Amino acid sequence: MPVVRELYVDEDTFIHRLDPRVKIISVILSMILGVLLHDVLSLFLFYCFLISLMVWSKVGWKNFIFGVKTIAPVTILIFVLSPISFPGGEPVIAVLGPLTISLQSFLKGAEFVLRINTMAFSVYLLLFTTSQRDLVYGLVKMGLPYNYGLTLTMALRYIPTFGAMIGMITDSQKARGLELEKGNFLRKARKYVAVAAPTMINALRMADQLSIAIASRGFGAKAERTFFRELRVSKVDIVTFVLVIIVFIMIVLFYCMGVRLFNI
Amino acid sequence: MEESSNIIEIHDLWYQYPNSKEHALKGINLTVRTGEFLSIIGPTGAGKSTLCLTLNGIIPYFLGGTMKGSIEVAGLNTRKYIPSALTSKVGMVFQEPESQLFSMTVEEEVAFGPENLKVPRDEIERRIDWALKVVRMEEFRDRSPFKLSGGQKQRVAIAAALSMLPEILVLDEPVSGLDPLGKMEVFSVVSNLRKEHEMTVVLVEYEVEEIARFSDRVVVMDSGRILLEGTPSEVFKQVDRLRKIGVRAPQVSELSYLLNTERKLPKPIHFITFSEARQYLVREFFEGTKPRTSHSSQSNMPKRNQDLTRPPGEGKPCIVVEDLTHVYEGEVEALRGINLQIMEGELIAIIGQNGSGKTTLVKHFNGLLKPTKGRVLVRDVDTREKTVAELSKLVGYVFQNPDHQIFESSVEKEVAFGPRNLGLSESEINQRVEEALRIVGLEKYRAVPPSTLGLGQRRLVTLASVISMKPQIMVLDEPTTGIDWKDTLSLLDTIKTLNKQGHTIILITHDMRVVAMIARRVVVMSRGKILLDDTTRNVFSQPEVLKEAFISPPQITVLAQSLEPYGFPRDLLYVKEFVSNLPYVRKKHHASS
Repeated sequence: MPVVRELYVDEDTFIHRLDPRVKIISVILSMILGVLLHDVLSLFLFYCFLISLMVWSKVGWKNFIFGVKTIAPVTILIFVLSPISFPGGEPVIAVLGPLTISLQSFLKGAEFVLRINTMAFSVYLLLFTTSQRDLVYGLVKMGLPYNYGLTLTMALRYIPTFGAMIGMITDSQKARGLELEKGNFLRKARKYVAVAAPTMINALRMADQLSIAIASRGFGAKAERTFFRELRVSKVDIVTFVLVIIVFIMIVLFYCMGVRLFNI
Repeated sequence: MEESSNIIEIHDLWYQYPNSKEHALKGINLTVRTGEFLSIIGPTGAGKSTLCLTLNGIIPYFLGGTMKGSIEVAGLNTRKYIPSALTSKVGMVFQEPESQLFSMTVEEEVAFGPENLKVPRDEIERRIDWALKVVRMEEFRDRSPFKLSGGQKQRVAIAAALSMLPEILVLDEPVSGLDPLGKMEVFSVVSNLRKEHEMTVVLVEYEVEEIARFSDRVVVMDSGRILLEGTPSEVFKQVDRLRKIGVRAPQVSELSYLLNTERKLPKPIHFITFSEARQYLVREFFEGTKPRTSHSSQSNMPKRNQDLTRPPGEGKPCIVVEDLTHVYEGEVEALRGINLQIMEGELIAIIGQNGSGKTTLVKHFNGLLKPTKGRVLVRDVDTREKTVAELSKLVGYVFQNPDHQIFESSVEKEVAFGPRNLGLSESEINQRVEEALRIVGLEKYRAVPPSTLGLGQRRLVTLASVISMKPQIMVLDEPTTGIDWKDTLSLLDTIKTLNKQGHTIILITHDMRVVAMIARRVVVMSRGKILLDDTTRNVFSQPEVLKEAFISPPQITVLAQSLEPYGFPRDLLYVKEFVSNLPYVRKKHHASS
């Protein structure tokens, strides 16, 4: 049975306790930095910083490795292709047939790898330390219309349900002799109809029942609604937020002034 | 002010779904008093759910169609209000927990209703506390509903409806998908609502024993009409009439019915509940007779039906399970050292709560799961050496939810899917489809899209689609869940036929009456282990052990066991047996002679 991972790690650390809005904005800023920073050393330091945050928030090795694994294909691809993507440059390290690997192309590749990884890890840090409910709630508080927020919540909520459903459907059809692994692409595609069709029918049926259930619980009864959960902004949140902004602006300023930690 | 005491008033209500030729409701007249507990029973397609949906205006507002007649709920004409405006009057709980719980946590689920009604925050807080307390789910407040058991999910659904402080609570088959423990949990909450919170409750269910216990009034519906209406005793004493409609009566009601016809009682009797029956029997048949310590010393042997007493262990084994342990990735052991032999031609039932390992065990029989430790032999072949497709020729598996496999455009094609996967010739496939359709009695529907059939018939389609693969062994996973008594009986007949033809049948079920009716041997599972493995009689005569697995034998068996001090046998399975074991001379005659 395919089990869809829930990313949230239930711990009680400083980062877990931060207001989701502070975290969401920090992640956006961190991703901007990922794009902005252009030298390997800065990116590397930034990467180390994110990892130390992960350690601090008790995310655990398993989740860290999960994060590394999910972006591994892209990482490896960029690295392998770097001599082709960034040809030329000095000094030449090795020559493999028509390929020339230079220090410059190597560092360029490393830069892109680090960039992708810092961006991915910023997002993972958010998802590991923020429950889906707080995440959606933060977004709604930041101006996302409630209906979209509810839709997003339900989409996240039903991922494991659909995962389990597809698992059961696949088992049902396999028990009737369906061999999904066999045959060429076209034949395989046709076989998957036996899984896809019941999945669609069940999903639609579930959506129907769900809409009745939601209407029965007073959805849309009033133009305005109460939000039971309150996000309380604490002093710690404010201080953290201010710090993040200051650090971000300083890095950007230094960068615009041409300060680099490492130059090729 | 006689009028104001009726909270629901329905007069000559007709309703037709859009794109449907027939009316789903045909002239319903019904009034429900404030604080009343009304139960609605009837076969599938009777219009019970449709009636429920008219109570909060989902019909016709949401689903369209045409409606005639008048309906008033809590003083409001439901046709004039949108459903969400009626939610503070009528709370709804539906059958499928998965499609009514959509929040990340239990707390949010319960808060959703009052949030929509713009209830102030501190008031919502109070309502959550109260509602979760009523359903006894306080400690699950921050859990994800998805990770709860079936019974817990339905209790959350009830709390989510209660938090809107409705005047009426409507429950549409809230327990029909649950295991015995889940049913018990939900029913105890529902009966408490009635007793302690004086709420008006409308309940649609098949569990007549429970309905008889706490309903004020029972309504029997069939094809859009109300056929019978009255107190539980007025309704359930009409055992014969109910049977014709396709609804079962509590076993104790069947008992009183049989006593009335077989024994010339001076005055006809009617049992509705267990305690009523026991009291009467003790008073009339046993009081004054010496309580016996053991029934084995009885001079007259207990009379029993013979056909089911065949001991397990006959014939040659077709499935051998040796020291089977199964661990799902990253989870606890689902099976812990299972040893089991299933003989050719057996009809065996596997019972136990959800999560006890029943499904995990039987999924090893056709190779869907492979042992973590130990081994499983199917006809002397180790399942690890075969693919699921290869094993599907030997072991057929009918899954619980027919909608997880139905996808073809006609019944015929659906039934042909399996044989086609086996790579058979076209003429062989046709022949097998014919035969399978004949066995389940669906020849009439061969060209019909299976998804348009009723649940009972969809089950038969999935059964036929396994029969057509001609496996010697068949696994049926909860085949009677959610279908009415009429469909259950015809399904059981089909299963018996298949067994007589030589198929080994392995049945997973939560319905102990079904077990008593057809299984020769019962395996009871609990926490990944086999708790009991014996003949049906021997298993049901150990209620103390069964309690560990939260299973209770059929009502009639429990009744017999409660009379054990008077020398009554403890392993009776049928109402007929029960009557034939009652002394012929009643106590009072006894005393006068």
